Amino acid sequence: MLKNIKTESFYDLCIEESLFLEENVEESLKYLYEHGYRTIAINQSINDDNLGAQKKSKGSNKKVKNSEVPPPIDLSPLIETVDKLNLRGFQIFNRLTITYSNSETFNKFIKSNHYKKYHLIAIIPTTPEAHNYACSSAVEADIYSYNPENKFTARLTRKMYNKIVQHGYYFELQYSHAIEDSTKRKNLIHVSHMYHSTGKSKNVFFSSGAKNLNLIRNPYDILSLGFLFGLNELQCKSCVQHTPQQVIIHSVGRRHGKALFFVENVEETQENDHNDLSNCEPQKKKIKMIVDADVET
Amino acid sequence: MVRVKLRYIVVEINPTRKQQSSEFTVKHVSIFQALADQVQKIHGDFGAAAIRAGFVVRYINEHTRIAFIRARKGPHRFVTSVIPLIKTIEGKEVFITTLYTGATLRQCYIYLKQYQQKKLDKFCSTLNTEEEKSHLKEVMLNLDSFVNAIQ
Repeated sequence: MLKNIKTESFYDLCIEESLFLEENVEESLKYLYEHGYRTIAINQSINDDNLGAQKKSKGSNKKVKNSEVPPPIDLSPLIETVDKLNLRGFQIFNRLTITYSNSETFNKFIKSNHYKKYHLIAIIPTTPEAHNYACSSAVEADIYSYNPENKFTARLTRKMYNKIVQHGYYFELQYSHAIEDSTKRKNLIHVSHMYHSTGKSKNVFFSSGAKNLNLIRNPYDILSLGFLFGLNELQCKSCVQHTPQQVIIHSVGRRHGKALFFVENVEETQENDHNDLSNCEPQKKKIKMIVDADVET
Repeated sequence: MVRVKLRYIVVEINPTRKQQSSEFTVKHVSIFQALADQVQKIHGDFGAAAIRAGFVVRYINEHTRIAFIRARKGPHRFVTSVIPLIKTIEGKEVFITTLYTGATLRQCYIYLKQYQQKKLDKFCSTLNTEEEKSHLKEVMLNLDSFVNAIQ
């Protein structure tokens, strides 16, 4: 678990699963590493559009329930390749994006068995009701995302924005859509400017959301791209560096329920031993504590 | 008089993975045109006019496809913000990576020397003969045009 908290920059917390099929795993990982990314999340998305239709045709809830949330991608072969390629400090997470239009369907997703196996949860509310539901305390998620293919329909007030920030959500902007075509770019800029005007771009971070390797840019390019989204350089930097780190820490807190800190035995590495010898200090504790300040008390 | 402040942006023009080959070249005039068009598209008339003064694109080394862009300080943000959005130049699929943004050519030169050396070390480990290595070194560390530009 400790490994899950200590992550290195830069971050790309949304890369589509299609980039990590068997034949192109090595290529993708190498490409991301060369561009300077150290922490990535592989995205799988589900939609509640078909859910109603399925329910009617099959008539039984059980079957639908099992098929709702797909099992997360097995990360062990990916980690093996990372070790094989000798990519230092590279970490991979699972991420689930839920697109929903009303609270009922969303609750069904939460009850699914596979739901808790994902490291990060992102939500995309499509209707104003769903958006209101996200602002209430009932939803447990990390990322408040937006799909630039559709226009942003909900009305975002400052009160709502602050509420979302208070719950510990982070707003996501997927820059690969801005590269793809003009309409999506306009939608994305509209939303990011709205975040800027209503909430001073608090808790906003960038991820790629790429379905194609050609749409991934290096972090320094994103810093300059942030100019379009109404962010200054400092904000841009935290968008690719500090905020995604907080997202990951928040996700660990969310999975453990209401907790302030957790205690864990840490294996001593050789490096640590060496440091201790050089400092000539006795080893005090083998237990390391991590305080997660983000979790509500 | 206050001197005119400029920004130099060092970029690398890479072909997408489909077309990767050693013979990939793009003219520097077309990079200029692509950037100007993209600025017009994203930032409109105001952006296009703002960057026009002192806007220059030159190759530093054609083999490594590294170029520098000169723009006035202030409007250079219009240029840097559209660099990631460029997808095609001369009908070829490309992506442009920003390597460095500096206020003087000298600073860019210092950065670039280090960057190329690092890259060279990486490539050299894959080569066997000394001849190949020295040839590669000559090609990659050729920053003469850059030195000329400084003088």
